[in-house]
Amino acid sequence: MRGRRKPLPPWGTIISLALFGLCAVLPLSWMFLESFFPDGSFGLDAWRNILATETERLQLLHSLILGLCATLFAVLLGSGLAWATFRTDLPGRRLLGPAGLLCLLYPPIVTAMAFADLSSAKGLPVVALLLAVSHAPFCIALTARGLRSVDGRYYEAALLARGRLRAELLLLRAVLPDILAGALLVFVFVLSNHGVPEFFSVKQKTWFVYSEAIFLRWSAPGKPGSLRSAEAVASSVPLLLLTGLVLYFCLKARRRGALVTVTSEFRPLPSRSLGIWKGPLFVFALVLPALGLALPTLRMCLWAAGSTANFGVSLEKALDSFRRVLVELSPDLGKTLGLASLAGLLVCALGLPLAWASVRRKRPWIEALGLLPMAVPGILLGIAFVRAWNAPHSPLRALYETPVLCVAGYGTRFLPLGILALANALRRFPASFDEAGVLAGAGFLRRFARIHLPLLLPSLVSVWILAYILGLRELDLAVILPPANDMVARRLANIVHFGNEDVGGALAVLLCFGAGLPLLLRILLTGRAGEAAS
Amino acid sequence: MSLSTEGLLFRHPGFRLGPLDFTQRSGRLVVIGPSGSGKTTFLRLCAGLERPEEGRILFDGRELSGPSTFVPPARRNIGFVFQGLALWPHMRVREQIRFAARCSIETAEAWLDRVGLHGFGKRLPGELSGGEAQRVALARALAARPRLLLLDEPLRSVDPHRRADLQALIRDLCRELDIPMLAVTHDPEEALGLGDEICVLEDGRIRVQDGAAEICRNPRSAFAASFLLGASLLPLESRDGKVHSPFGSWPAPNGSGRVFLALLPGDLEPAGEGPIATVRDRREGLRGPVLEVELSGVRLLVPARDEERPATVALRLRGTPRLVTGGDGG
Amino acid sequence: MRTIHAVLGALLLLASCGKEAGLVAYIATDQHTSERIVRLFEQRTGIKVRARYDTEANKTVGLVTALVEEADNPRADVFWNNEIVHTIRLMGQHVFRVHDWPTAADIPDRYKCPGGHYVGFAARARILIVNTEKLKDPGERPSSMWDLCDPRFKGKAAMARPLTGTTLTHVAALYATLGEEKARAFLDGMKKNEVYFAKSNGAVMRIVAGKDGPAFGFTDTDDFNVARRKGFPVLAVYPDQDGIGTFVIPNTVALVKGGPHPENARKFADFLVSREVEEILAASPSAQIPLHPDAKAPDQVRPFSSFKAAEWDPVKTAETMDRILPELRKRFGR
Repeated sequence: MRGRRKPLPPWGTIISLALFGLCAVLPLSWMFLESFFPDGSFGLDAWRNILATETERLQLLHSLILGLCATLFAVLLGSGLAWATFRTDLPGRRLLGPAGLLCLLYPPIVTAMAFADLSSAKGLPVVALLLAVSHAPFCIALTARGLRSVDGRYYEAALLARGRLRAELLLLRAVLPDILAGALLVFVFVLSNHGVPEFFSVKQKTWFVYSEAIFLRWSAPGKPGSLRSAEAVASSVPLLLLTGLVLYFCLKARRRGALVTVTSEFRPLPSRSLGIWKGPLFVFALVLPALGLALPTLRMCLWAAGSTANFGVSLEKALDSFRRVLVELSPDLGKTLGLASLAGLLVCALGLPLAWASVRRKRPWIEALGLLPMAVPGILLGIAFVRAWNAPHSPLRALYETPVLCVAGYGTRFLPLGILALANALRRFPASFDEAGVLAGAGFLRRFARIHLPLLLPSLVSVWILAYILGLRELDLAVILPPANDMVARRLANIVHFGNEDVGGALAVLLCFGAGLPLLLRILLTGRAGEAAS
Repeated sequence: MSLSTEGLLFRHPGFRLGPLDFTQRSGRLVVIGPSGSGKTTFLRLCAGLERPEEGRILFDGRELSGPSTFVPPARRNIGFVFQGLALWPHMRVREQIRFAARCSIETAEAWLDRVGLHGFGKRLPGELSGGEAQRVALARALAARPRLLLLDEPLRSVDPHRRADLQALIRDLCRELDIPMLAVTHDPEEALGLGDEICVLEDGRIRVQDGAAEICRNPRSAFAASFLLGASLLPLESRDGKVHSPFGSWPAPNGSGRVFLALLPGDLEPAGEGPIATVRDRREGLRGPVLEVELSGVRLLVPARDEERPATVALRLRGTPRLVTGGDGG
Repeated sequence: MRTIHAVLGALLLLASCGKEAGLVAYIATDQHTSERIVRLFEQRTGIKVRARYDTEANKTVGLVTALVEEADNPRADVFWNNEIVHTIRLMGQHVFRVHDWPTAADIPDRYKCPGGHYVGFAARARILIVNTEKLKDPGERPSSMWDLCDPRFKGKAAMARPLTGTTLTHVAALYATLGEEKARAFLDGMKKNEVYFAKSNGAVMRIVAGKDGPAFGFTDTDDFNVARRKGFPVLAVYPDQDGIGTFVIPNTVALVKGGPHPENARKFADFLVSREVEEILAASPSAQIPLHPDAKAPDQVRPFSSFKAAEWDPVKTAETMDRILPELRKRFGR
């Protein structure tokens, strides 16, 4: 028998779990624990008031209704677009799919502002539609992934046996877990968004959502700060439960979706001819890229050109706005892109070992636990970070005002997406790939570098891109975490609020460009649009 | 160099393998059994990819798994050809061999030549046919010069007319390199073509283990006779230490359970006298006309003597009877 | 594993590359303008300032929350807030320390904390923005807050929902100054007169400046100045010059108790409330009104002494706000 090193303990998993515990589990649990001791001694005052007022109950209901409506729209637009571009001979499908994915680039509030300039429509349908547009890329990516992994022979067998309608229904059933996973992600993101509903609240009668209620707890009058913050923590529990429940189902759906492995003989789905439906479907496929990409880009360019002033629009003004942003804000832009990139790397670096432990070492609880940072509102996670990293005896104190906190915060926030996506990618590869390497006598590092990394690289790149883009959009953490304060998303909101739409427009377009560059490169290099969140 | 197990036991909910006590006696052992009988699990236990609950696995007298020892798979120096082949989809063929054997490109190419894949080095697994992929997996498993080669359904994805070639290749390579081989399969033809020694596994237990020729001559177990040889089983009556059949009475064989007479095509022939069987059908077989007859509730094929179509026929047993024991005869 | 090592290495590198600041300022106001002032301070003193900014998108609770959360281990030295009520609230939570404010001696006392915890400077006035094309006749233009309730202007007036920001402070100050009955009559009157309740002061400005919609509305001078700069046909009416006067809401600055750089904090705070900074803020796009009597201001900024400012008590207003907020939320749909 050839002599080899002793097998390594799962250091990757241990370190990742420790970091994850340190970044998310410990601070959040500590914060919830503290809410039972608002003034140093045990008391349930903060918890008694959860959903105490009718307004709050109404807000929770509003959140639910809005979440459901937005999810429905997102599935219709996103999964519909994925189906049309992936399964049919739709003209321009190679462009329309990626264009739909690019809707993720603009923060929802920018899309909302661009829409508000165009139309005075308000209320639930508009809010739901705009949030759907902003988050539909999840549905596109996941549905495309589902469609790509269905073996065409199943479809053909059903086609021969029961006809086209039955075959399509069978296909729908096969892709349903993926569609559902996309829908649930949309739901979770919509639930935590408060900016767009607030921006579009109807005249006098407002359409406020529950995340607003949590905010209000912080600024609730007439109460000491510790009780207010304890109440805010407690009041987030209904949202936390709701999101947790949804994410749990999301997890279930994704597990069911991962049935096809790369080794099976595989035949892609046949393409369908649309016939007379080509025209109408083309128009339908345009809706998402038009609303989520073209409209904001156009409006933001017009803002840059001075459309919000009374002097008319000019190219010089536009160039001047872009020049100002590049001259004055390029350090911030650079820092933002850099921090978001690092946060993306952290998501990959932590997500991979955790996903590995969950799938390969059969520890599914890790995947469930990993969802925690997405189940709590961003501002709550931020506060948990502040408390943990700034506590008087915390060993992390030294890092509190360094970019490490920002990278850790953003990385933790989007880690669930990384774990989900990578666990799913791992499930697509049979365990025998690794076992063959083990029996060849290769150590873990060699197997990882030569077998797993190349196989997982597309998924890792996708995860990195996703975390990077979402990092650029994130606002809640940007305000709470000190070093994240340089992130441009917060500055953008500020600039627009203080009436500098010209600079804001130029900044939004440049931010979108910076966010979209890796995604665009990825699409160009692989030629496949739907992989971005697979 | 041989593999052996002592009281090997492995359990999963709804599945049990063992306890197995077995010793590999020849260089080429094939374990055969139906799906779910525990073949692949047995192979994975030998490779160290699963840990047994109880018992020991020994190779060449050295303990691989035991109550207090477990040699990790990477240190067992075992070549394994997986059922799905597990060729890494992103790696070129010669890189697969180089990865496993840590050898030069030239050596990898030489291995490809050896398995009849000259010039295939730069291909990806997706660009290979089933047989070619099988040869690559074989080369990858052997290139590291393992001390034991394990094969899981090695001919499964190979076209029938190429099977003989690949069987010969596996046998020749193992002989040349002096590497003992343990294969599992559910295909009797594959088992008899590949192995010098056959081990029949049923419901996680070894029913019979013997030389291939011996097992054809005397399968001993009803399950082995029916599964491996495709024999028809005529139930016999046991009385006074003897078994009684329409063809005669013989001393009862050792073993538990009912006794059957295992009948292969050609074991019976029409005769002037003997037990009378009802003729069900008459048709053309490969070697001339055959009759499908029923005797003691068992349907059998016997050569037809002439053009007539009798309603009954008298039968005679040729050669020594194959008496087997077992449950209900599988 | 390799990836993890690489990332950990990068993080350590990141941790070591943060420049040591001589002062940490939390700034809840327009970043564009305040950054210039911070840079000027840095140039003058050589003290490196690390500034954190807030955003309206989070109702400006970010920094206030951070100050409360960090109270046990303060990270900030100075808090510069674009209004006064949150500052008073934080004062109530003992977040700030006392200072003698030598450079703010001639700022009117009513904008200074009697205990020395904060000082108000560079104010915004709550004015009526009037679209001169929608209301062409100067005689027809509004001049008082009560014009929002006047049937002459039915459906023609706008105001932000008084749930956050300066509008909330304004309405709370009305409750505190006029008495609850009168203030409620004002709110009821507006509702009856079909006043358009917009999302924010900026929204009021945009809708009044635009072609359609209400002809005038309550907004802040900085929002008005945005419309003016953008060339819209608008003018500012300082309301109630014959009555209670125009409400003026100052920026505030306070020193954080236990902040890491107390000496530099004092320098920065004194610099902020100086006449020079008020002049810069007056000349900036937000056109803040200097509270130093002798500060120079461009033409578009009306000197503090040239109009009647309403007398209101910020501390009483903060208390009133806590009391009336549930009522306001009920009225305005939250």
